Amino acid sequence: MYQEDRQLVTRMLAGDARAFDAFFASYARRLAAFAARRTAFPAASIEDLVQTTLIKAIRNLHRFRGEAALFTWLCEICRNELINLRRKASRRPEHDDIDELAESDDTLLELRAAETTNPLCALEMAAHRGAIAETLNGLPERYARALEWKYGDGFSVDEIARMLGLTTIAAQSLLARARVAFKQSWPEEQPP
Amino acid sequence: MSEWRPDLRDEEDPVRSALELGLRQQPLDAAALARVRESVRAEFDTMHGWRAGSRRWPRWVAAMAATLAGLTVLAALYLFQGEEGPPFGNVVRIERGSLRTARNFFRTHDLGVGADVPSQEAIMSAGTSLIALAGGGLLRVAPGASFEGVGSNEVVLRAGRVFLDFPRGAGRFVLSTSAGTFEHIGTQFEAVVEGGSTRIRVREGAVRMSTPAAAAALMVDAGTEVVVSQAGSVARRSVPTYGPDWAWAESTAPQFEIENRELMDFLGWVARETGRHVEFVDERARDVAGHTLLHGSVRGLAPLAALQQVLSTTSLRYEIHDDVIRVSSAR
Repeated sequence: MYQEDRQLVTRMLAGDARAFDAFFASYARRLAAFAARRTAFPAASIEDLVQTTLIKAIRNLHRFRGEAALFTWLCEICRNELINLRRKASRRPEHDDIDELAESDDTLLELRAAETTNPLCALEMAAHRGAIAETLNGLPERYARALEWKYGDGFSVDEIARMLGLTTIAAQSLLARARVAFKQSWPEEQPP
Repeated sequence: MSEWRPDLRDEEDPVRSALELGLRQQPLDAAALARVRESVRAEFDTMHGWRAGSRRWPRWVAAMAATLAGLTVLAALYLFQGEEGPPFGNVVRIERGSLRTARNFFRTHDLGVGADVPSQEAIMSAGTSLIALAGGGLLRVAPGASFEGVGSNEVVLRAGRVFLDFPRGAGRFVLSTSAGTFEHIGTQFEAVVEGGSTRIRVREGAVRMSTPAAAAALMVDAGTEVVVSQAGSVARRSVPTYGPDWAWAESTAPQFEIENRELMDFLGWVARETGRHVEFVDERARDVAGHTLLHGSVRGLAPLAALQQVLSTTSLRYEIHDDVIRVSSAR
């Protein structure tokens, strides 16, 4: 399982620069999106978070055993970094960033509504994203993860199947059930 | 397993539309991703890549490329001589990209290694650059950064990331952004301008910060990060002076020529470039460091990789604990 991921990591461990390019092109943007969906940190902090996550991944590449998909492994590192950030934030009595700390009390592990800089659509978009996040957080984790990968990160069904260790048909079925579950949980006043 | 297989490619699917609208985000623009890539690539090169890189390129190819690059730079300097402003600094190094000046829309040219960096001209960095400032100190510039020198002791950062490094006793130097001015007081600090906000991280010494909204200047000490938002609000927090937060700065460290230098000097360079300090576990280690002359080169290696290479040729060992490089004799 995860043969392609293992091959990519093996090539990177051998110093193959093209493997690094493929790794970065595949995962950096998706990792940033993953983090942004879970925090209210500004872009500069997301940048640091993604950088720290990828550097830790590079340093620990030899520990990747291929027991999970590479992206899942990266998300786990990112999740731990988010937890560390929350702990650090809670230990910072001198912190006076009202915006950032107020938001950091929210859960960092679940999906959250994102900020938007356009004042005209800010409320509407924030409400929509908040509702999406709330609905997904109420679904079984496997459903939420598959929907996030498919519609948030743009992974193909084949890629999702690979990451979940399923056949393509099984992944399609899982996505279909997840979509049904999502539709049933979606607030009636906000029909999708 | 269910045999029901809906068409997930349906463009009119409202569930899909709602989910994509709610989930698709990209918080990092191309410049930010380029910066991240630069830092992560440096780590990759240090951990895994540099050995392979040296295998792939025979020395004669590198020598020819260097000669060609040198000729290109000379030709460019010859072709683009003109009435430039007084030099703001001098290009020490450019990696994976270019450093371009723009006097106006029609007049741009790339600067090469050794070229003077004119003041009063917009400068864009497409790679990682190292500039020796005319008044002393070094300016490291990340890909995507845009700035302008004002005389020899001020730089205006319009966008992107830079790292400033001044030796003790260096003259006055000010970094300005839309958020305010930041004056070094014997320091190393990083500045990032993005989306109207400015973030300053001080690694050593202190920075005197003045913003339009503040009545008095604010001192920012080592191990502190300050973010000034577009609206003028100021946030401050503690940050470590070492570790992944500074990976980019470490990857752009100036080269240290070890030939005939004392090991003690080299350890001092590694310590400063990684935000740490050196502790000798025993007197013998200190004695060896003070009496060992180094030979060879650590060109192309990041400070910690260079440390590993150099100490492996001596009788000393080292361990890193947070901000301490602990050096001991091997016996």
